Amino acid sequence: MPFLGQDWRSPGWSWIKTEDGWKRCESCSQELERENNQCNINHNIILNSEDEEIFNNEECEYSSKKRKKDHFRNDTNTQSFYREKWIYVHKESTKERHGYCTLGEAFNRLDFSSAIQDIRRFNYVVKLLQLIAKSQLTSLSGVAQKNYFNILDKIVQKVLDDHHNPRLIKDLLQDLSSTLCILIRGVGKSVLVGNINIWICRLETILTWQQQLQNLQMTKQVNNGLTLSDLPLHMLNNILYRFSDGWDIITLGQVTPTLYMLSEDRQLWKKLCQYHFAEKQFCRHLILSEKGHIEWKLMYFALQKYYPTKEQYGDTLHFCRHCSILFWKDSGHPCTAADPDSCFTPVSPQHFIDLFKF
Amino acid sequence: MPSIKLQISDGEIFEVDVEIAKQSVTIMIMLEDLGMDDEGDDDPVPLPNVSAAILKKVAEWYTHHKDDPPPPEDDESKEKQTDDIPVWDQEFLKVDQGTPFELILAANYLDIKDLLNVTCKTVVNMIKGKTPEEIHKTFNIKINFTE
Repeated sequence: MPFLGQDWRSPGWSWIKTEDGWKRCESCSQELERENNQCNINHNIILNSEDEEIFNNEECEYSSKKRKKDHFRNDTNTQSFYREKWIYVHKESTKERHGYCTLGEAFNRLDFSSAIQDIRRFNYVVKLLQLIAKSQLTSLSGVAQKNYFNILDKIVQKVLDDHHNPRLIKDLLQDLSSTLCILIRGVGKSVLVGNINIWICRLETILTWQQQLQNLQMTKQVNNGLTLSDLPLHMLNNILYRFSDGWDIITLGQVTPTLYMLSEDRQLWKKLCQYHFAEKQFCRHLILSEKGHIEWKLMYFALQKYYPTKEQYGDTLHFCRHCSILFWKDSGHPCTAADPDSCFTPVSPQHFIDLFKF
Repeated sequence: MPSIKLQISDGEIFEVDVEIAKQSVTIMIMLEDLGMDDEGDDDPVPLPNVSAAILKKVAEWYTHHKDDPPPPEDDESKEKQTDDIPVWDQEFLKVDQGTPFELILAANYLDIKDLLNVTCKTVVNMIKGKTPEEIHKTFNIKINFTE
């Protein structure tokens, strides 16, 4: 394997094939995996100064020094096996500065494939994928595309398995297939990276996924224990008030007549409108009934057409204004600010996409 | 640690830590009303609406959560958030079909706010994004149009 490094005397790297492409594997890291808890191995990848990365490990036969810029080259193979889940972002010209990153690069580095297993991040990642599907597919590199579809595959398998919010994924797949149809049809005019046959193949995979989701197999529960319809009214109400999407309320209302009655409650829809939209927006689209009452349910669907709904996520990516780094809060990043907490801002999915628009 | 006796639906008597029992506002009020706090009376507190299995689950949940910091003030915007269930709770609630609902009823009766929130959120997550048919199948609800 060719090796990319500074020192021609080095024995070269060993590589390991992962789902996200070939990754360089430090030889000691495999021994570490095996020996596990037996020795007190303290391995830290310390990125202290601009130029040094010291792989600190007593068992390791050599320590490697790499320039920090290796991390920022648009080449995922220089990532070490211990992935740092952050990425440096900047908006200047890429020729003079040695940080270079695109949406695809960020996509690879931020390890979305484990993020989807986290309930707090799942919706966030899906929304990101959706925004990419709507407008950014043409900006993804080949590796980023592969990762995108890998993650999508994992998401679909997860939903097929745990039946968690199928509609969210169905919408994503719908957006994706619409965009792909348009791009494939205009193949001569658009900049679609990669062989057209790969894209057609992907489109077919998407159609298969859509079919699988349509025919979601749910094992029929045979027990005679308590179920949703056995709950008293105020409990059902409690549950209804927790939905943030009007469609879920409507759907639930179609399950039993009791739920239908509860789902028509004016207060419920009023709360929903107040959650998503502002007073000013109500006034512009006021819908009154014959008796002069506000028709909150109709207003909700009307307002939805004009204004974006509120997005709330359990956990999001954060941006450190001081270091100009995008990261997950638990993974952190090597922050050089005096007061780190004051520099962090949460990043909405749209903001994430905008960060990479030059 | 001092414990008190709870008598549940089928007459069985359970002994639980006072600390755990006091998580339930209902039990706390009963204890105060019946003046049991100081005397260390051995009369069990009656809980006719709770079964043994459910009480065990509630005690298990509370034992894990007893060192949690008090939750912040009720935030209007948080009432619609359902993706912030801690991992332990997610595992705790991966049980057979009937239990989450029995837990909801127990948490409601015993007035344990956190448990009620977590169980309701779990049920909401099971409903989100499904079609009516899928909801029927998930919860084994009999379709009855004659009501």
